[in-house]
Amino acid sequence: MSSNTMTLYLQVWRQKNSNEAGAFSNYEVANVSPDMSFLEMLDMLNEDLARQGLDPIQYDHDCREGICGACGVVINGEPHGPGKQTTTCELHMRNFKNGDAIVIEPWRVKAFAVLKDLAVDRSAYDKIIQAGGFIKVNYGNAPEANSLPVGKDVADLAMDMAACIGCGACAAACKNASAMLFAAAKISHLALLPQGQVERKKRAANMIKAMDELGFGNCTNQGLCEDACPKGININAIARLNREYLDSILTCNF
Amino acid sequence: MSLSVIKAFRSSIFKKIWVALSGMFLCIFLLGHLAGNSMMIINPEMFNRYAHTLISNPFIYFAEAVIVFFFFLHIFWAIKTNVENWRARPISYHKRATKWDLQSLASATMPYTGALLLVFIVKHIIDFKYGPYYTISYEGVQMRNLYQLLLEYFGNIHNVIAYVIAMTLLSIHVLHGVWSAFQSIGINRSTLNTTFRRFSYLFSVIIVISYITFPVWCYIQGVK
Amino acid sequence: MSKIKQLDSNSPTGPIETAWDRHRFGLKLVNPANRRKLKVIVVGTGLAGGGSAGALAEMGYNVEAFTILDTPRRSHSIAAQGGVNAAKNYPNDNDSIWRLFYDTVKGGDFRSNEYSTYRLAQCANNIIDQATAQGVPFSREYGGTLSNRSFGGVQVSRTFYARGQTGQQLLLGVYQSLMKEVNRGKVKLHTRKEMLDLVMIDGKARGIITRDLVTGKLERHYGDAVILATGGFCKTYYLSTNAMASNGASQMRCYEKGAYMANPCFTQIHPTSLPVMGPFMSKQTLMSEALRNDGRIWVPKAKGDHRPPNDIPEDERDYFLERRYPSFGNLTPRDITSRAIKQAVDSGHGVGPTKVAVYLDFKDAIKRDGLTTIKEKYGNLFDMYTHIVDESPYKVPMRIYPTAHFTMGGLWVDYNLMSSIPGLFVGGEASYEYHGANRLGANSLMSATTDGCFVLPTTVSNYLGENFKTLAKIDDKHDEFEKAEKSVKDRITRLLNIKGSKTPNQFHKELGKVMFDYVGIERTEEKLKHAIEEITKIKQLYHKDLLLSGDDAMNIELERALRVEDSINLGLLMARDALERKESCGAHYRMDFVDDEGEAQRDDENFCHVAAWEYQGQSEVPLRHIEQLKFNNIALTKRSYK
Repeated sequence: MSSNTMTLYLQVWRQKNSNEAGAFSNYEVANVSPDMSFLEMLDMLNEDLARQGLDPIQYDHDCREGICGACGVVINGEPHGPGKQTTTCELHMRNFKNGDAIVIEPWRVKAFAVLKDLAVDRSAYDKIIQAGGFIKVNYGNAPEANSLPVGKDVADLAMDMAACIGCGACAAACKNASAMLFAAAKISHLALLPQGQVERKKRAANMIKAMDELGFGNCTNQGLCEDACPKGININAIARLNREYLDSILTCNF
Repeated sequence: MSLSVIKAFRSSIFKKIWVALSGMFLCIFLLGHLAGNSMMIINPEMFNRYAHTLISNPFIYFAEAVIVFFFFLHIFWAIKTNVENWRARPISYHKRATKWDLQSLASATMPYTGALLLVFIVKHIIDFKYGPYYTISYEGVQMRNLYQLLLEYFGNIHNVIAYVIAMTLLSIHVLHGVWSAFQSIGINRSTLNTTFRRFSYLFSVIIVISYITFPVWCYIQGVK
Repeated sequence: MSKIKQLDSNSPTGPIETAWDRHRFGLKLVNPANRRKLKVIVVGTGLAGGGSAGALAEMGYNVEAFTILDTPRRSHSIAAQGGVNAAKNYPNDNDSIWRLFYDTVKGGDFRSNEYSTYRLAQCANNIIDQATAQGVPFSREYGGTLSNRSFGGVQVSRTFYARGQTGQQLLLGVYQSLMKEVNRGKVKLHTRKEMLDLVMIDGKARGIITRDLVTGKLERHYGDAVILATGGFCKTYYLSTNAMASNGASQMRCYEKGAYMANPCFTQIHPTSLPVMGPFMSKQTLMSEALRNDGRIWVPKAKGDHRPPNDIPEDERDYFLERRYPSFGNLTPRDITSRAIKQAVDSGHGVGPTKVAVYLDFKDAIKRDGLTTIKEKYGNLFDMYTHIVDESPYKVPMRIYPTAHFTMGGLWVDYNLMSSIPGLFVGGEASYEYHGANRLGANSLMSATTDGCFVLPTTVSNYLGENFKTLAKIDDKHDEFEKAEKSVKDRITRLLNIKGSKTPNQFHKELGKVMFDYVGIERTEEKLKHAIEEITKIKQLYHKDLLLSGDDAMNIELERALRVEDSINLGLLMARDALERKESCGAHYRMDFVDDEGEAQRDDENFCHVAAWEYQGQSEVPLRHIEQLKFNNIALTKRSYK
């Protein structure tokens, strides 16, 4: 814990709504404690803005412990800011120095329209899931859980893939604004487990079709997504997706 | 929902599969070209005879067509991919954190190294395939003296430098390209990732060293 | 004549093991051809909301699901770390449905309904089967079977888990099933829409008014039944382990329309959260309870000891939990632990820069099991701690302090999960059901999923079946919709036009401070009366001095202002309920109702009931109705962990 406070110079993207053009505004924030989280620093700025009668900066946030995936802004060119495997809410101001200039931008992905300031519309991710990211099993009496053994290594790997929080950092970081890591994580999660086998081929085909139609870019295997992923999902997932998809298209019966 | 397989062949994933498969073919071509070129160091006659055998064989037209086809495939899908990618981010970031390691640099510059290489290849074909036609006879058989052309061409230090630059670009291009191809066709996985990375480094180093050797060697021959 | 009612929970009677089956058989059904003519509105898309929306859609009903977040996948169910309980008895350690039922009732200090709680314990097994079928990657043994661990001090291993992200994985399972129904066109999903009023027609819940958080537009949505599954309201305390959106505004909207609020004073204060780092703090991160399996909690024996923890010798440390509760030691239930920690701090033994924390020390565990083992078990939690506090728990003890974590109270519902308003159903943490005065670890995912996936689909169908012929055909032009929308509009205009000097966040912080200090871990009549006075002052000032920037379109401050207004009213109700419950039970610890040893003293003669509050007007004192609790299956005993 440190008691030295900092003054920071922020350059924040302000945009009234998705129809109007945006621009950067400059703000000076004083008395920033190193123990603050990045969002708490923005809260403090918003309180200042409110007192000056100015429009508060809109940003998404909820759990503030890195699991809900709601928050996410690009900080000095890095989605979720500096530091490995952190979300914006987990980023603490001790990562910055007194007098630092910080550029804060929203996710810049055509498929994620800016709603206002730093808040973007990520419903495109829901649409990818909607296209097949599920197992079609109805509520009711499911079979006894232990009747279907799953090897520990497979379950663990599926869990690695299922850890995705859908924050959108992968697409934001990608040079091509591609959602491939997101799609790969969900397709991998379900393709690895025995429960996901029945719809495996259709799932990969349908989810990729949806993803392509939503206006995301194409993957060029650069790996910026895995660097930005707060849950450490690896681009080996994308290789798995590629073979899942290849298998799906070449051997499908539909 | 019915799915069209033909449409799937144009999907984001197939785009990179096409680039990967054609890229792999072109890498194999590079190795073949390398083997042929290395004959110039062993023996000028062997080199000229090899070239003669190649171009006098009617099969060459088919082979050339195949190579052109794969080049076209590679370039077509690469351009299409990149145009779509630029469109996927209409407003670019004001500030972008850049990583300066070789791997990242190689992957980030693929469209640029690719475009420069295309210019190079066109020039390469004009300079050699359609370049000055010297002849030479071995045991009564008259053939093109490509060896002489090489010595003359690389006698000019500017051409040597241009080739060294082009081959460096090529090695950077394949450094990402080779690993990326394994990733794109889906055979990469955590247990093989390091192997594929190393393989692409190795391939890239072999390409750059060997292909640079030729112009330098020719230049030295001329000086002697 | 007294207006106080004795509420009937409509619980079944007779043998408890078969009660739910017998009850279900008696419930009305709706013909599949008629289901497509009916529409259910579901507010909230967590495990309870998302589960019931998906399940009802699968059955053939039309569903409209609402969330204030940008996607259903972020609902706060996601944050549960530890796991979900079920009495599968896979580890063969003599667990049973009865034991899970018994533990839950006893853990809740006998303030929950026996029949409902038994049903919860029964349904828990289905959750595991269902989630597994949905592809939830639970942790597994090498042989491929599901893995269990012991959690929250229970003596059997019945907790199923997916690493430290069980809530996330269960929610993603439910979310994916919901998206499946969205794709099928049976669920219409409304994201970034906040419910701001309940619309009642002919005394029945028939719709809601929502505000589109992007455009600010008010919208009317009508249906044949409304399910409220909007989670708990720990944000009333401002600081809590909960997400920023975990407020009680939607419950308060329904409460002001006549739904009863049950046991609002029962708030679980979780013992192991990170301490407050400064006035800017917006939330406190939870450190999993699992840490208490190996960590030892202590404070220096001397008051105001400023030495660094590692310089304090063993004999000058007070391992107060081990001293006071020798048989449970560091594994005492949450309420007891929280209280002991607060007492240690209040008596001047607190540690750290703020002196409002105690140590959770792993030195002995590292010595015993080795660094590698501890790293394997708690590595990610230690990393998280280091990240936030900038100290390594491998080298210096963690500093922890209790904070608000779960609200056992909520809208009153009967055995069918229907509130006192016909057609308004409440599930998950939004209702008061199951947990009595204290919730056991890994029981919250269990209750939310049970409500959403197994109970609500059945009981909502029963309501629709009963009322199919009598539910009037309505649309959103109905007078009640006009009236409700106008009142919401007026409320927003009123808040925007106060133009005072204090931001919603400042008011919220003030409210939170009063709530934690006076309606927190230790309560007295005096403190509670003081709290009511203070909150009333905050309420008055709020209407005079609120500063709201921005307009009525997308506006993060306006969202806050609306929720804080409801939180203030809710805080008042919580204090009032705590004042009237003149006993100590579970998380509700009244210092003026203790036994000779200072331990909680329950009053089963006068308070073995659920208190359900009925709204009487903004400045009127609400009515306190009663649902008497009967314990025929488990004997009322004193909850002792000595």
